[in-house]
Amino acid sequence: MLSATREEILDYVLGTLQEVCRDWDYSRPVGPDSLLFSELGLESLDAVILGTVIQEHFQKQMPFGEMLAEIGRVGRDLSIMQLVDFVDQHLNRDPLGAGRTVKLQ
Amino acid sequence: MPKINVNGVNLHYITMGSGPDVVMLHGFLGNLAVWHLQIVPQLRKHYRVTTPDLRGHGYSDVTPSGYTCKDLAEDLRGLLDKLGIERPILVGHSYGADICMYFALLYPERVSKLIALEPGLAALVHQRKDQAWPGWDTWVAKLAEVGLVVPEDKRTDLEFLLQLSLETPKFYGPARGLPRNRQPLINLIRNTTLIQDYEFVGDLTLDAIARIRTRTLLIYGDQSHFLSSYNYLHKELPNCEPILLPGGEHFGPLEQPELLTQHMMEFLNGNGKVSNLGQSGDLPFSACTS
Repeated sequence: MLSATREEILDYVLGTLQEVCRDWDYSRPVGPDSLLFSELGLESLDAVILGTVIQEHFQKQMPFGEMLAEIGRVGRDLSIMQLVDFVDQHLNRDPLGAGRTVKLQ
Repeated sequence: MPKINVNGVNLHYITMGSGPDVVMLHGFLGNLAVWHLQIVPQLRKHYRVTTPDLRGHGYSDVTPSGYTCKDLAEDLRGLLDKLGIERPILVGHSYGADICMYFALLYPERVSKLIALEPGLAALVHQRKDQAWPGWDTWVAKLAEVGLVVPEDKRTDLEFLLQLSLETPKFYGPARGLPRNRQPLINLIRNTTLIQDYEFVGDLTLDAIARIRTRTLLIYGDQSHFLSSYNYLHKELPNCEPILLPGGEHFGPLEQPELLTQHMMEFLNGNGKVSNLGQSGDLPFSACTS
């Protein structure tokens, strides 16, 4: 498992999002408060890919599927910062993967 | 975002977990995400799960042709060969289930068990093209619910209804309620042979069904408009365990993931009889026409 600071996680997430959204028509600056679904226009598939790439990179299983399903159920969105919080929680504050839920926006 | 070249096509896929191999195929106009919200997170604890995007779908290459059930079964064969997967459990939803069945017919030695969710089958498509097929009315009604009106002469026009359906907001997943990115799907419908190829029967004739000996879990929602296929298949498949999910329609993996996963796990673990959470056997399906 890679360890990483929140800064490093944010950098990695922003970089990966640029990769996923590379061919898209999104001209506004992407920052910590950008919303993945309603602003950046991610689809379920892109979010699933993002989760997989992140897990692979940090070499840690994280409950992305469940988290994304919950967002759909409660009809909310996810900001980049909340995504960073989620990764941070599962990397640094929950290393044994006991799995606590994260509060959504 | 790994891709692998199979039969000249770059196919995108995700593999997760460890244990015996399970390969899962999504359906018509879908993509691998349908499995990942709830089902893969459970399965990956006990199995190594591979979910490809079919050609033309998700992140895989879009080709102008090659979308028949046989073509896609050959893509599956190529994928398994390239990934070194010898004899997986195959799971498919809708067209994905048709493809898995075609594969089991051609290469029975390459599949250990089969889970078929809502297969339609090209050999049975005449049941669903009939003007009286109840699925047309339901589809038109669902579009009307979101304000999309279907002209009278288009009420049984598959291509028209598909394109109009792309105007609806997303029904499932984290982006539920938001508009779809329609362009790739419009491209798939208009600029490839997908829709015509869907009707290709090839080796998977009605008679051939009886030669699929693979142990099969056959699952439909009891409200599904593909039940005419269930009524045929559960009698003709020689080695099948049929299940009807109460209240389910055509999109089991998204509608009832917990119940579906439970049935799948019981079947995969081979714990004898699946618990009686769903009915099995014939339905008095009066709305079904032949």
